[in-house]
Amino acid sequence: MEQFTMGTEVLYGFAKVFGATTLCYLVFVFLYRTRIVRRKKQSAAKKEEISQWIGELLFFDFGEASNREKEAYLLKKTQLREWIAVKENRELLVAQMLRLRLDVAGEAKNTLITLYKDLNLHLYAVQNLKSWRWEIVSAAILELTQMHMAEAYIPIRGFLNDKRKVVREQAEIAIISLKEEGIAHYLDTVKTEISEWQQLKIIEILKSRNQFNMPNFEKWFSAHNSGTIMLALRLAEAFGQSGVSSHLSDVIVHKQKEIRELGYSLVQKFGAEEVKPTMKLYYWKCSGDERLNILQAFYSMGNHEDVGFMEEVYHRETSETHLDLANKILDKLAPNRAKKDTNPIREAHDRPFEGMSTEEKGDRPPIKLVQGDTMSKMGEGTHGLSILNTYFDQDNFNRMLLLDAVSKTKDKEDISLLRLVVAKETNLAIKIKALEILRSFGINELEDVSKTVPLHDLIKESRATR
Amino acid sequence: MYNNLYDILNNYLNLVFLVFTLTLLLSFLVMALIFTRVSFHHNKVSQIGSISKVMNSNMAPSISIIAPAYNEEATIIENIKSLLSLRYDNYEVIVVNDGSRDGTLDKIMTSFELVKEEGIPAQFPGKRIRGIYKSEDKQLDRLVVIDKVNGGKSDALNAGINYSRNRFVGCIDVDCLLNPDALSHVVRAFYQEPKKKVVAVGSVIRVANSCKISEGVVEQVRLPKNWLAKYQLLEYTRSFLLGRMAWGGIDGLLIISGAFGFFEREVLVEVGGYDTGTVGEDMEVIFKIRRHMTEKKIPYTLSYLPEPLCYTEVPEDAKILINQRDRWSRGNIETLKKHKVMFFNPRYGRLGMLSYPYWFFYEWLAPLLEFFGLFTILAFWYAGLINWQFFVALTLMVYMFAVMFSIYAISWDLYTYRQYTSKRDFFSLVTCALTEPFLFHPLVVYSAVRGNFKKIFKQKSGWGTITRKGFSNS
Repeated sequence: MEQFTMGTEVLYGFAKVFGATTLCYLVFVFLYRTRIVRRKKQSAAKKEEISQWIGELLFFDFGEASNREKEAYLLKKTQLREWIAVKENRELLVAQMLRLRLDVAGEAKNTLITLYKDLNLHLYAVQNLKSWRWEIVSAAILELTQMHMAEAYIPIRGFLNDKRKVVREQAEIAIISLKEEGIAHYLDTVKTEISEWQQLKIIEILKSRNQFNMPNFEKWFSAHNSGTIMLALRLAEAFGQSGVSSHLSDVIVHKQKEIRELGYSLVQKFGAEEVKPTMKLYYWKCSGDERLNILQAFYSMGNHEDVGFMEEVYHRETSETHLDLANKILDKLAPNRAKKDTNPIREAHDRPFEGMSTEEKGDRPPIKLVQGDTMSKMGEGTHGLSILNTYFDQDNFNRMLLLDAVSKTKDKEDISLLRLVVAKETNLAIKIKALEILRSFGINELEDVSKTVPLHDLIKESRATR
Repeated sequence: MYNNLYDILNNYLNLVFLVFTLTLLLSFLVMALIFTRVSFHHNKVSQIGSISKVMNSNMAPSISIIAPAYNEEATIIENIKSLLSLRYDNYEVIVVNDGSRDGTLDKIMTSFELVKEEGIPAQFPGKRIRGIYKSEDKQLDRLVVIDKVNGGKSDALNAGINYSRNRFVGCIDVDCLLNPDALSHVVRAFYQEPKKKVVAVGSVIRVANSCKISEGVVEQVRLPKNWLAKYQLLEYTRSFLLGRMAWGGIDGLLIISGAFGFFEREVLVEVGGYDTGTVGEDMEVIFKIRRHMTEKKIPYTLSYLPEPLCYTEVPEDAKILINQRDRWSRGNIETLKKHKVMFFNPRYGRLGMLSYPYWFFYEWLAPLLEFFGLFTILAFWYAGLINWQFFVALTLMVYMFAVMFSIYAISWDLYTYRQYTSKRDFFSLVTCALTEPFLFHPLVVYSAVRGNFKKIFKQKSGWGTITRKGFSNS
């Protein structure tokens, strides 16, 4: 048991340390609580005094006042100046003025700002900008911004790309609020990411400005900083700058998804006709969500010139949602066109035959991809062309259906593509099904399937056999 | 020989307990350090600037607040009014009546003059929706009531998520009182990270018992009069403010309280909504989201706000408290079991290597060890084998540590939020900190053991009922 005698002493030691720390905390809490209560009482009395002073100075009419009143006014101002020489008093006065700023408007607000300047409070704030503590710098920037001290614009500008996030964001808000050219300067110089919250704040500040000569935000659509592009797009949207339409082509092919999405919303909002060729070119290269964005854009601004493209989409598209939308657009743009089936059964006869002449295609009926057991019933309609050509464009459900169809037709031309399915398929259940079908063709030696055979070679081989 | 064997066993057990305890204390100290750093920064940041400008912006995102209600007849109207009076423009309140057997729905229908609407497309399955109701009064157009067959809280939340088409959804308890600026704080948290996607936001939950409440808003924060509520207040301060803030500080948070949790709707839909098979749905959904995001390799984070944005009524009756903690304990086990693949799995980074093991050892295992440790001590004492010196020293150390930690939490709360500043409150909280290990903690341990017992022996037990006094009576 001896080894634990040591342990016991250590434990008692720890207990003492914790006990002592607890006592320290208790003393701290008690003193801090007393300080809060005392300060609260003191500041309440001082606040009352300050409010009285500010009120008297704020509503003092210099024109109509007698000489005696003017003297009293100047004396009060001098007293106030002496009083704010103490840091604590100054902080209280500034806090009170900032609060008051929200309650007054018009001439009173201007007088309050003049009084702030008269008392040289802005100089103290500018002095605080030199502090190494971020919270003091941020508070000073905020104070100068709220008091509309345009002369602080230049010193605050230096904090635009500050590495301290809070200071940086406060400086961004300040330069946008203080001068009209602030936003252009900001968009030109910002190097850091801009959070959505910050973007929202900036837009709100600019929107609250009267008579604002805003710059053309399309200038920043090609900026290096993605945050700048996003903010510029949002600003263009908020200020209804429809002139940006011609510059949206670059935006919708931007490498960042969020920017592309914002771009599409602007395309729709402004009916940007200029972007249509880019959207048509880009359509087949982009993801499902973006295709939906493009289709929605065509839905809102398409015309008869786009019918060809929409027909192409209708024939080549595999997603039901996109097909439905394409169909709706076609109905809208060319209501008199030959009606096609709009249910989820999809006609997919063009894509499998890509690169083949019309003679090669012949008068084959379309291969139908269906949501049900129809797939397995349609094997006889393929006229010797492997329906598996469309295999890798399908989802797992349809892949199974295609294999069902193949297992029924037992067409030897499907063998090479079945081998490909076995080699490339990632879903085990489907892979096994393909293997079983191959076995039903009497092919058992499947080891060679896993060897790398280029896809196009196999398709060529399949076509050559035909 | 037996003596030697006993010595070895005794030493071994003592060592295991010592290591376990010291690790726990050390992790608490680290947590306190992280919390101090995070909280200090947050406190300074929150003093700068205001959030009021953005909340009325038409570019501010849309939010749905989903509040499931089950037999809430007594307080439902007051609660809905409180939810409708938040200072934010673009939001809706979806109250899901989860098959209440009292007059909850009737009361809502009458008070808000609701009419039936069209059905909703379901994204995940759930119990049958009996009807969706909206008010014809334009001033109440942000209120939606979904009436459905009873299916539990998760099912009700899923129905709300199905209905919502907004970017963010808030899943709350209907009886919670939200700070009028809560939504602005939440949006700021969602929007503040430029490089990562913030998928969920939670906040500190405060105790509303005995507070002065007017028009569904907490007007004056007061210390609860009931001692059980006081202990819970201390516990909430320690775990919500200190513990979770610390976990949030290292992005290792594994739970956001079901009383106040906001999510990006798209992510909730991707993970299939709430799991209806667990009573710890709030914890499980966070595990699920974290696993999903990690597996998809999307940079993401969760945000935890220390501001008191949500007030809730805590049980003032020991029986109800035990039921509540028993349920928490079962939820804990279910979630840990479901996501056991994360346990010490480096693939999940600090979640797998730190958060999950902590949760496993100190949230699930610790109460059991405490409980069985007590029996071991009694048995050893009976057999005359106990090392009293060591036992007393260890107990004293743990006790002093617990008190120190509680006092630390109180001091931080006072420093940051200054809610309980009167001398009476202060001494009352200190008394709680001194007596909690003997009077309140055993209740929590007993509830955890009961929850484990029920789970292990597969005793059927659901949510149980919590009788609320209602804020008007507070």
